[in-house]
Amino acid sequence: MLLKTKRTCSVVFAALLAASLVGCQNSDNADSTSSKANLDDPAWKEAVTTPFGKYPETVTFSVGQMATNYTSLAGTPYAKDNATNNVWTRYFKDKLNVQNTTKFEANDGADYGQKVSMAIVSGEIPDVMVVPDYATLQQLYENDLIADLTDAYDKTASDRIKEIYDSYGGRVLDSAKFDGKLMAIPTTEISHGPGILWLRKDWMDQLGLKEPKTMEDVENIVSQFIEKDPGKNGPGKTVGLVVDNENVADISGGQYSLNNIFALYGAFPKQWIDDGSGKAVYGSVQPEMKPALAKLADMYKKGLIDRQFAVRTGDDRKALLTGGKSGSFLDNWWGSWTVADSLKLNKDAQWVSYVAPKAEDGSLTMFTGNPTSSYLVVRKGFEHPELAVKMISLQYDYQRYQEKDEATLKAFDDYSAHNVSGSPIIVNIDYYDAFYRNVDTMKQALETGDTSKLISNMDISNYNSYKKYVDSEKKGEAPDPNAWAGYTASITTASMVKDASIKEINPLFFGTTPSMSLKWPTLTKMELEMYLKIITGEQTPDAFDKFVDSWKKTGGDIITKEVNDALASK
Amino acid sequence: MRNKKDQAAFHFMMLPGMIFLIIFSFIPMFGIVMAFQNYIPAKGISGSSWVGLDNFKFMLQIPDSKQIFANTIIIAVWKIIVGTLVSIIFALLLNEIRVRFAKRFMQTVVYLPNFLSWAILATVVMNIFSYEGPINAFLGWFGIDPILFMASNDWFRPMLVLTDVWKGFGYGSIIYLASLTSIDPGQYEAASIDGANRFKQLWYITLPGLMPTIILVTTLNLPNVLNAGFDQIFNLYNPLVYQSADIIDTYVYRVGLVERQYSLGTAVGLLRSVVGIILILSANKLAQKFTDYRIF
Repeated sequence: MLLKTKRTCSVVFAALLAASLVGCQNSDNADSTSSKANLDDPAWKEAVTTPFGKYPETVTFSVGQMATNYTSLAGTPYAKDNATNNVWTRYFKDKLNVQNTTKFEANDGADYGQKVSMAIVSGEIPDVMVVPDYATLQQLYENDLIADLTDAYDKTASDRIKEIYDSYGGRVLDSAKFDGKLMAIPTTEISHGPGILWLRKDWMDQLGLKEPKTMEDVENIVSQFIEKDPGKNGPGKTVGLVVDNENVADISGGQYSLNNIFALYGAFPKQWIDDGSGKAVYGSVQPEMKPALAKLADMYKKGLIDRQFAVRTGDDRKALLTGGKSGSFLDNWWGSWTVADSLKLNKDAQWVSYVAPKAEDGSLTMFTGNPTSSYLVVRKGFEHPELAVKMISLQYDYQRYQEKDEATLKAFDDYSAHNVSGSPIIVNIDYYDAFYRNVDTMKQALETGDTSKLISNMDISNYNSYKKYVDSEKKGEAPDPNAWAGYTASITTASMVKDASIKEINPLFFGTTPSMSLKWPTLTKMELEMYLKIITGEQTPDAFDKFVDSWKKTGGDIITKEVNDALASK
Repeated sequence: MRNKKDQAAFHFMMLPGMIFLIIFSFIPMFGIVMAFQNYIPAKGISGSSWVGLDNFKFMLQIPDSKQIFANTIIIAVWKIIVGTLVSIIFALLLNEIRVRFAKRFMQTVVYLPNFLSWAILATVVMNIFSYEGPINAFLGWFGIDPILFMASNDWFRPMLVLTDVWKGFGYGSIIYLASLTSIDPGQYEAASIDGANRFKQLWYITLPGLMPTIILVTTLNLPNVLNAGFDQIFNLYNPLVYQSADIIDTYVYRVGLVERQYSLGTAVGLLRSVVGIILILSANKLAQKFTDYRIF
């Protein structure tokens, strides 16, 4: 009897297991459902050929999206919102009759990149997704996984979207073209501006320190922060410049990167720069690097650079700044967003941006970034490739410039007040000079209260947020962290940059070459180890020469040649 | 007759395990052909072009490969040696405790870390050994300058071995404690009548009694030499210590998944498997020779 029960159990168990396995295999098939478009129907024809035409039937599409912090909406009327039902998705449903389903969701950055990789490996890519870099786009194209969007762009991109892309010359759209076909909607990288030094002004005031200009000023301020401990962290507990261990020098922008200090020495690591004769050379292996590295090693030794930066994670870095352990970091103009949380934790924390350290002539040199980074792609075989272009047109043109419905705009305002995005497609499409474009108009409007010159809804929404900040400041109230961050980035820092003397270096090449796919990972690893070892003093700056040597031998020379060939063939 | 029926039931109970093994261990083996291809996901294994041994050749060219193989073996060998020694010593010491409650209590306490994942333990370890952590504070009392344990190529490997042993020695000592109970108490009685003290008893009775188990466990551990512990290293390391901490598994993860060099990642992984199978076969032979125990 007992035996029989045992056997029955195992049979049942095995059957269950087998069933669950079969179930696993089947579950992936039912993907996106979308109704067949009938082009004879004028409503369908209108929908697939115009930017804002509404589909007669709901079109559903799956999307790989970046996770959003819906938790910060708790206590608002939007508390129940999620990735498939929020202000943006409702807007898309209402205007275009499209509805997203989530194929995967991941945090911005490395997490998201990994999910994209996994999706590509498994051959199960969502109908619409943003891929984080050119190499991925290229891989998708070579694997014939994505749809040709040439036609869709011509017909369904709005005039303003086309105008925005034109503000970059051909640089942005061309980067997404393969054999003359537009394979993705590229993100535009608006000019990232120069590296900005962010300092705790309340600490500087406490110690009677003046605004930094030169490298010596910066070193002095940071060392005073550490020695005199204005943050009351206890002796020796205040941390110097917060630096990213994987991006000591950054390719684009530069959160927690030391690009500014490299630039002082004429070094432009990670960029393919002009060697003076029109030939591209790799900045990280140029002789200017050595004195810059020696300087950084010296700063590390003195504690002016976070002594533990090699082991810190992104969360650690942010915690150092928001928790008052460190009062200095290099970033771009959006650095105020990095430290917005510190206002919540400590009402005295006062972060101020500086264009520093400057060269002796008072200028600051920056390299201009890659005009595009991520790409919006559509899965090959998806019935409505134009859907992605229509969504772009709605999100970056109609909603920004043409939507006039107060209630709708208020909902979007509420969302941005909580720093929640919500759109299933997070890319950025804006004019090249967007960062400086409206500063003066905006400042004028803030002074006079006359908003008639602000053209886009985003400007008006921003105006309201800035106004709120300015008013709370006048009343001596504690400012809302997000309103503060927006104002400090887009008004204070933007006008400071506009007035500063900034020199631009234009790197020659941003793409990839054939040998890079196999050799670049090894080379970047070597490069990363070199930075860390020299700066932390594990090796002397002389190790740089050895690095250059093995960099060249391990494929650097071949890649340099390929880059120059690619430039010559343009 | 009854015996056969019994066995049939047992074989049936093995079925789920076998299915599991086939699906997760045998079927994925076909994927290793990627190592000989320029694998492109969309084209799949049947559509990707063959490149022969190119991936292996490139692997041997890059400076990283020697380093990661060396790291893998060094870290794993140290873990086996230190781990085994500490487990044995702990089992012997515990065996000498005569108070049952104290024994149980000790055992439970040292098992605990075994049940925590490295994702959690790594944070604890990072904090304890950080610049401001208790260890550096302690060293500070003796006037020793703070040491960045987790960012130093000298310290990182000892730290890996130390924390791994700390996590696993309690659990590892179970088998030794079990085999200690199988030693005939009559031998101890006889020895004490002959005037042997506790230490002599340990030396002449306990250790020889444990020897077969020690040899068996150690030989069975040999194939794990290439298993230096992805979880632990991945959670603890940082770019500065790649040089001394990057093992085959972490490298395959970075190259294969993060950098999307699927074929190269597979080639490295395959080489690891080949070395692994050689070690398993020789360990089996050794186990048979020393303890007359064989797996197959």
